[in-house]
Order: sequence, then structure tokens, then C-alpha cells
Amino acid sequence: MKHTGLRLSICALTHFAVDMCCFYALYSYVFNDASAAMWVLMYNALAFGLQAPLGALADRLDDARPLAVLGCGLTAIGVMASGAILAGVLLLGVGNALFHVGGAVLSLRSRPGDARAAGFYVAPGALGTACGAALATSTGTTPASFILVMLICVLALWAVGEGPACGLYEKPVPLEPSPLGDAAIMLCLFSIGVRSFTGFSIRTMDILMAGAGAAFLGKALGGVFARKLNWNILSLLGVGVGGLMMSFFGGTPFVYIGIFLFNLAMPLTLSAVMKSLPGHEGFAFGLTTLALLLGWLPLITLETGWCAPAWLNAALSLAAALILFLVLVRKHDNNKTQEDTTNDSVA
Amino acid sequence: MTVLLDAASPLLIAIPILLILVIVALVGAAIYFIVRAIKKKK
Repeated sequence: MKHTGLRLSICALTHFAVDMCCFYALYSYVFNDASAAMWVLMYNALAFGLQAPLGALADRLDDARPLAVLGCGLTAIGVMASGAILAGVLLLGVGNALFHVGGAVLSLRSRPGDARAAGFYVAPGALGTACGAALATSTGTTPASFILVMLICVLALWAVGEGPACGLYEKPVPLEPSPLGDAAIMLCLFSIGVRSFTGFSIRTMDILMAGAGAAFLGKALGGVFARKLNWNILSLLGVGVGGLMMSFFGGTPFVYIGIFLFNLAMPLTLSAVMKSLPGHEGFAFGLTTLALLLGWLPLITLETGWCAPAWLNAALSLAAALILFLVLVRKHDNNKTQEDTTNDSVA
Repeated sequence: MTVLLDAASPLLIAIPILLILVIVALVGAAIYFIVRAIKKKK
């Protein structure tokens, strides 16, 4: 397993770049169209809904680089497709899904239970979306610069070499929870859906970078804290306290602390689901994004800018926090390898 | 967050919400059966 850290870093940076390109294009020529609602639905359905089937495909490949590179390529073409919105949305949605799954399989397949790696891979996406949106409204940026960024990412992805083959795993990291059963996986996915619904239906102060920065820090540090704290306690505190803060302090600066806390659990749930479906890590990654889509879906039928009542968001957050507290438990010490166990018994 | 339908009556508001919830439930059920099948195969 060579260059695992470098591969993860490149995948994380490319994740930032892909999301930046997608949101640059969406804000440049999609959101100001009269049918923006339909385009957004189509983009999200493709970008989030396609990842499960594409992940199942990636699980059959020993080298997932072609998927990731193809995703970057389609995204780059999508940035240039401002004259044809349908084609642009299709390219951006499919490109985004292909890269996310390809990058996840490349960088996380050999360590599905490593929440720190998962958080490191996923977190830059939040910043990428905010930067893309900001750049679309500023002057001086051209689609050509985004194409260049994508080209650099493609070269870096290819140069770092193929990732670990399917079925090769690194040593478990400290405090990894036990693999989940099928019902527990569903509960975990439900909590992800609830996080999605709540995350999109709170009242913020519309400071784009503050929200993205809080989400980025939460996702990145959630994985780091997971090496020191039990996952179920971290989830309970993060989703529970964060959810309550987001619910009852909407529209105040405290909402960003809530967003930070709320996102701490994101790498934990992703890693828990990936670890629970060995040999199907790409599909598991796709299931979590499908849960995000399903959680967001009810909101498309409601009025633009609709915010859920505080009691509803609070109740849903507490339910999700309780589910994660009960589900993300460690039934045995994963740190102990066979050798440690033998040494213990000899001693 | 955007709106697809500009519904005027409560009934017209409820129908798309119910439809979406049915879709969510159906996809959820499909996920469950796929996950169960994968777990059983192991």
C-alpha cells in the first residue's frame, strides 16, 4: 500500500476542485434560469443518487482511477456547457458522482473504518462548493481556469498510482466501532437523512463562507476526535447539541457552532457504513449520499427558503443522535491484533 | 432549496409531499433488501 497519504491528499484536493467547478457552473448558468428548480433536482438526483450504483461498479474494479478521472473530465466539459443547460447539468451531475465514488474507493477502500481519513476526504467539498459559488459571482474568473485546475487534478490522480485492490485492508484504527448489522446500517442511513433534512431547513445568517467553514471544520475534526473519543458519545454530543443549537439559535452566529458540532458525526457514519459492508465500500459510500438525497427530497415540495419549525428540527436531531449513540458502539477492542492477543495470553 | 410546484390549496401541497415520502420509503425499502442480501451473502 504505497502512497496512501499522498493519494488521500490528492483525492481530497480534487474533491475540493470538482465541487468548486460544479458550483461555479451551477451558479454561473443554471441557478438564474427560469427552470432552476428542475435543474437542481436533476443535478442532485444524478450527483447523489448515482453514487450507489456507480459505487457497486467501482467495487468490481481493482483500479478506480478511470472512474475518478472520467468524473473530472465530465465536470470540466460541464463547466463549458453554458449554452446547453440540460447537457451541462447532466455532465456535472454524472461527473460529480463518478469522481466522488472513484476518489472514495481510491483513498478509503483499504481503511473503511478510518473516520479521520473519511473526514479528510469529504470535508474539502464544503469549501469547494462555497468557493465555486463565490467565484461565479465575482469578476475575473473564466471557465478556462477551471479546466486547467481539472487537468492538473487528473494528472495528479493518475501519477499517484492505482489504489489498493479490493479486499486488502490496513490495521484497524483506535476506537473503531464494530461492524453494523443490516438494521443498524438502515438506522445509520436514517440519521444521515435526518442530518440532511435538518441541515437544509435551518435558518442561517447567509454568510456563505462561515457555513462552509463550519461544515469543513466539523467534518475534518470529527474524524480526528474519533481517535480519542468513543464514536457513540461523539455522535450524541455532536448531533444532539449541534442540532439543538441549529434549531433554537437559527439566524444568530451560534448557528455556525451548531453546524460545526452537527458535522462532527459525518465521517463517523460514513466510516461505520463502509466498514459494515466489506468488499462493497464504494456501494456503501454511495448509500450514504443516497441517504443525503432522500433527506433533502421532501424539501423540494415546500416553499423556497422554507425553514422547519425549531421543535421539528430539535426532535429529529435528538432522534438521530440517540440512534447513533445506540448504534456506533464498540463490542470488542479493535486495536488488538492477533499478535497483541497472543502476547496478552502469554503474559 | 427550491420549489417545484406553486400549490395554492392545502390538498395540492399535501399531494407532492406524500408522493415524495412514498418515494423515500420505497427507496429506503429497496436499500434495506439490498443491504440484507449483501450481509447474508457474507
